[in-house]
Amino acid sequence: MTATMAPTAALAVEDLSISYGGGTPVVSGVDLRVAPGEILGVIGESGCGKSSIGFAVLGLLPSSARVDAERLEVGSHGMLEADERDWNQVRGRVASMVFQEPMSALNPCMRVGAQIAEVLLVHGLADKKAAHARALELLELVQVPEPALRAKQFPHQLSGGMRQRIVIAMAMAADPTLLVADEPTTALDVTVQAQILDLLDQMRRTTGTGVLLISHDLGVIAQTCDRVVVMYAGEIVEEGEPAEVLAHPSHPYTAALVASIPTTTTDPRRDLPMIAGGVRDSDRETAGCRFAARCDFATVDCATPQALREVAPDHTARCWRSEELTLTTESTA
Amino acid sequence: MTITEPTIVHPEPGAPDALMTLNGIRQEFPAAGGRTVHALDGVTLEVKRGETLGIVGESGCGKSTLARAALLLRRPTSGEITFDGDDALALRGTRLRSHRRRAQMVFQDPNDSLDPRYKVLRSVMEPLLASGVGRKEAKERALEALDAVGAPDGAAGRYPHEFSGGQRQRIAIARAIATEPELVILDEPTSALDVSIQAQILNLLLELQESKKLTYMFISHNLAVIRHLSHRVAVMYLGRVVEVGPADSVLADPLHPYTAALLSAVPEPDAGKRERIILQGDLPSPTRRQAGCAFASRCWLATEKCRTEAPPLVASDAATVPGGGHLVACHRPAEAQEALRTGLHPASSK
Repeated sequence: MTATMAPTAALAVEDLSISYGGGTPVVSGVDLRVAPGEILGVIGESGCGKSSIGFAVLGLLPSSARVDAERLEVGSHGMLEADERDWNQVRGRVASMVFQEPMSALNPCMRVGAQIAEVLLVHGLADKKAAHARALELLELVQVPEPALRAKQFPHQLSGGMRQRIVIAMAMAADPTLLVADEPTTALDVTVQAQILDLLDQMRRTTGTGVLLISHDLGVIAQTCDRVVVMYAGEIVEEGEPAEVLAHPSHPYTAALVASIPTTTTDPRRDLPMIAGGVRDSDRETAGCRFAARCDFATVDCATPQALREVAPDHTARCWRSEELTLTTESTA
Repeated sequence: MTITEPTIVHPEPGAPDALMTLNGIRQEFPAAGGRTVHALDGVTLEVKRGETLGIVGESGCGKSTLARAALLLRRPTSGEITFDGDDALALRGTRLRSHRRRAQMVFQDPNDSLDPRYKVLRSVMEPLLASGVGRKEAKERALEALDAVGAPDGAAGRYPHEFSGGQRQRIAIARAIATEPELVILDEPTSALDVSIQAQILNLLLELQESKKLTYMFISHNLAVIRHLSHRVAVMYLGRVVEVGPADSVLADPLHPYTAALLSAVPEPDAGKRERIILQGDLPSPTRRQAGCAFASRCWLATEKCRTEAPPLVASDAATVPGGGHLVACHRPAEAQEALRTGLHPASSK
């Protein structure tokens, strides 16, 4: 683990590839950068590699996974050569994680206040008394009403939304530089989801923690993120500001994805545009565009390697036809 | 504390377009410590022939309990269910069994209706055999159903695990439509699927409704999906229907503050960042029956009257189309309407 000076980015990843058991990489050539206080969204469907990225930047992949990268910096720590001891110094302290299911991160037999304090005790950041005082502060930070009472309760006594707040409090305990949130609101109701997204947004403003928000929900990404990367079959296919990327996509996959979702502006009871077929393993091995087999606009030239290139200021896409295509997100096809 | 019992409203006799009428349905479950969970607290709804009635609400609002009651999978504690003019709760024995053929269900997880040890054909044939159809005919009709849902060739002879989630849901739908039911209750049928697969299933459901003249009761927490499929929408909160009416008027111009909050909480991909109504707190416990409006504890418009007197589900002057069948259970619908229009209210955390 090499420490450099003050972090300029909460996360800096270059050319990240992940493969399991010597198979075809599930993630390849991914560059990511999360600035302090920024929320970067990663969106894609099942199997696109988004969760693998989340695990990789926290060193949580199983030993069967092979991670290659040019650069992997979490906070100011270079983690390329890191061993388990180095990761233990970083996890929970410099970077932490919030999962979809809060119960998977909580100990059912331990009072929630003690679970939050434990984070500080494990990292030697506070003594017992100070850790408990800080736990109450954190409960307040995540807007849990009556923190002193709640701290003494067990996870089963709390609602799903409240449990997720506790998990976020644990993740924020050591004032991390990076928070990875993998589908943090997928298991919650929409009104509770709105509360939690609001909380993440307020928190990163006050603490300056950078957030990597992984989600399959385009709405969540649009509402919460400063920037978004769209993943398809292990590659980034488009990147930019959510309002720009989702309203004016430059990659046919992004356009098709947005169009396939019913919203309050789609024509009710009309057929939704579909993306034909599915992702095949062979799509990940192709040298050319991985979406070509399902793309309405594919030509023979799509078999050549596609670079992620700038199509507009602060907006990149991995499609050589971006400029000539008129992509629509209207689902009234 | 006295709680006024919800009045059982009898629809006009012989209303020809009602396929199923639920009247004052209550479902109680015993809970720990001698308490009672009021899962359904007097639900009155009508499902019209050929329509999709969307049921929307959050976890614990009773929408799945309602589905099970409507299908007579669990008898409600009290209330009336009329199916095609007959008292469905009075059906017993063979008459009940032949009724089951007419109302079927699709669950969120297709694995709930497909036995992993059975080949697909056997699972799809099962409801047909149960309703007394002979083996040979059952097989034919099962294959027809699989064909109608666009299951892959040779699907009948394979096992559920050989299919993707989307394909498995198609097969579960085939099983539900095999008996040629009039009513299909769909309980979150696309919630476990990726969005591109969701579009395929929604399209299939629309197509089947058209070709087979099906009536749907479509249960979902996803308002956009509800809006896409439904002719009418009922919004549930804590075991009660708080608002019901034509989909375009309920979802575009809601009269209940809860519906307004729910709509504003839905993140939209193309809307960008916008003002939201953020509700404070959580759902109250269903073991404590609310004397007043069920939503009063989280409502920013609640007054003393709201806390003590349950508002009846009635037509409101505030409705965009008076007499359009848009009903709301709220003492202050006009203010709720205003809230969504401006997107602001005093309790907003922004």
